[in-house]
Amino acid sequence: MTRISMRSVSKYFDGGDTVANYKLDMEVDDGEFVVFLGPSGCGKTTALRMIAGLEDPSEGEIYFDDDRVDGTPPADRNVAMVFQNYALYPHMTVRENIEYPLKVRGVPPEERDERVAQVAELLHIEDQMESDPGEISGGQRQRTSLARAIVREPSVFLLDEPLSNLDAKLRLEMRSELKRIQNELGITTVYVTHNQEEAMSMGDKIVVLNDGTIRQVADPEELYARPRTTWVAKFIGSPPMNLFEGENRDGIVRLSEDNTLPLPTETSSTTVSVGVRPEDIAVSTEPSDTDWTVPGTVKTVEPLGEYVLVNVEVGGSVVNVKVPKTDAAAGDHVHLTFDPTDAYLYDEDGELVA
Amino acid sequence: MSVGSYLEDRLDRDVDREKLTAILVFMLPGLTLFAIFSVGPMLYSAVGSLFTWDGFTIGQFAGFETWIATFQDDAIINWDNLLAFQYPMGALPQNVIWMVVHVPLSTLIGLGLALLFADLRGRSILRSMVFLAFTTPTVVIGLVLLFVYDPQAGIFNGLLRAIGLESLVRNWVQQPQIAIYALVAGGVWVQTGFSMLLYSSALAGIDPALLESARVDGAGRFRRFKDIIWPLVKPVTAVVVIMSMIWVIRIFAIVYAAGGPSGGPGGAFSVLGLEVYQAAFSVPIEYSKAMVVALIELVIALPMAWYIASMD
Repeated sequence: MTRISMRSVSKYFDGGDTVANYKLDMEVDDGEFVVFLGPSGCGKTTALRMIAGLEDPSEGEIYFDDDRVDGTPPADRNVAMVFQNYALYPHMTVRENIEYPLKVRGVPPEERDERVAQVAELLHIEDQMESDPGEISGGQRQRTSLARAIVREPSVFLLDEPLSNLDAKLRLEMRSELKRIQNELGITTVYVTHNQEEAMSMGDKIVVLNDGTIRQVADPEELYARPRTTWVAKFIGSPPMNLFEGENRDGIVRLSEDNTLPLPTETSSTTVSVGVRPEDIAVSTEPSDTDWTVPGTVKTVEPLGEYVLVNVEVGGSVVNVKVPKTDAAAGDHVHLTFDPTDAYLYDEDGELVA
Repeated sequence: MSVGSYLEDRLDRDVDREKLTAILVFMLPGLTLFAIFSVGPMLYSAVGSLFTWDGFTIGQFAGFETWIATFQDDAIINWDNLLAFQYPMGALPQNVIWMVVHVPLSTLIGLGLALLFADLRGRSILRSMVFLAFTTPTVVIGLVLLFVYDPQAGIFNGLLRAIGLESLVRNWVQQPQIAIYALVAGGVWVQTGFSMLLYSSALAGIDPALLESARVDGAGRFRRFKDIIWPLVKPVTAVVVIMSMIWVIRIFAIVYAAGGPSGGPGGAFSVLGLEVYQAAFSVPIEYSKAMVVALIELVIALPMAWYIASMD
């Protein structure tokens, strides 16, 4: 099938005033499900549109296998794209919508019917085939739009925030559905989202973008286990990692006048951040005898059923802690403790100290 | 169900009397105006056209005499010339020719310009320039046309000379066989601004993702137009076509300014509006004929107005 390579791809708008993407370098392997993850405005959609051919890169090269494709129109790339708002042709029925790419490519009617019937079955929309897009539900529209993308057996499948217009329940359902279809068809897929849960659950590989550049490329486990910069650390996880900033003096991190933590790993950096995930911290009203502890005051306690989210004020900033249950109440003085193996150390440039 | 029982059924239901009264009260001012200024004159003309008139004083009942005379009047329909396709053919066929030539041209040029300007820098200036003609009084347009086509000073003949087509130079509005087309061109200039404006907003209303999706699906420029844009602007096309048909049916000032009350040499580009004016205001006054011609216009325009009004 198809391997996508982006080599030093940049995209500027407004004559260079706006940088949408800067020197993107990455590979999507054949049959891989890659997710572009980032906050809105990070350039993930522009990157996708360049792969689709809807935008041309200002610099750099894009390859599908060994063919350079930047500069060729989308029609010649055999890509299929699902748009955020589905982009169903409102004047055509569901069937006509799905059939359209085949019709444009001059597939004979008998074959068209057969293939349309196949994808309709795959996506369970056989009953809506003669309806107008305006008459069907959001989920069915989503399925129609997927069917239209799949029907012509593209070599690359591009999805631009396809689930963001669905309600929470449908989103979960479509998430596994999408994953199932991609597994079944084995098409190289690039999926754009700002929702990390979607990214983590679906992606074989996640490309984290911010300010138009790639911050980290990793599989979901690694991305969670080893966020390479403080930015990624603060972006991944819900709530994200807590960072204790301080000064490194002789192996002791001074967070404030009377607050210190040991240095988890050797570094020569003087300004460092110690990162701990909310789920790795314990809350206790009793002082602990380890050095890996920070005192604070409970601001709020949010019992969420599955776990309790305790927001603790430590030296002016709020630390999120996820615990199964707690006796702490707002206003209590507490001690936050964690295991040194759960601590991450970031240097003054915000890079993870390995 | 018979009409009687249907009505009874409707009346038996609990009609909210208060609401009904309120509706009637609120509708009264509008309906009154509509009756006085629209329905009244129509009925007045319809009845008046069946009488003889002495000036503006009603005379004897004459039946369809005026109607028959009007359809035999060379100024309205010149049957011999019509069959030979020679101008003047009479105001009614000429008005129809206006429609047949003007409406498709102004619609398609308007759509073309709207498409052309859609992604252009400075499109608002270009649009304003094209739309300017529509805002200009049509009498002025008629006068401008006279200048444009003037054999000596006119810019059109000047252009012909400049590109070496000296042999074509002539006074375009005084040549019976071509004058009408010269005026239609002016009409197209006016109406194009209107259709361009409507199409521009219709195009702006199309979700760009649809066109991008079509591009990814493999549709080229032409297919995107044919399969996506054209069907989506269809409602606007209906409005544009019918509005320009109605505009053409009512056309008067351009023709009057360019050719006077007679409608050009021998009435070569006279239209129905001009004939109404002639019959009503030039001696001998033929008030009933004016009513008949006005009613002919109405009969042509009314179904179109109805269609537009009943569109979703």
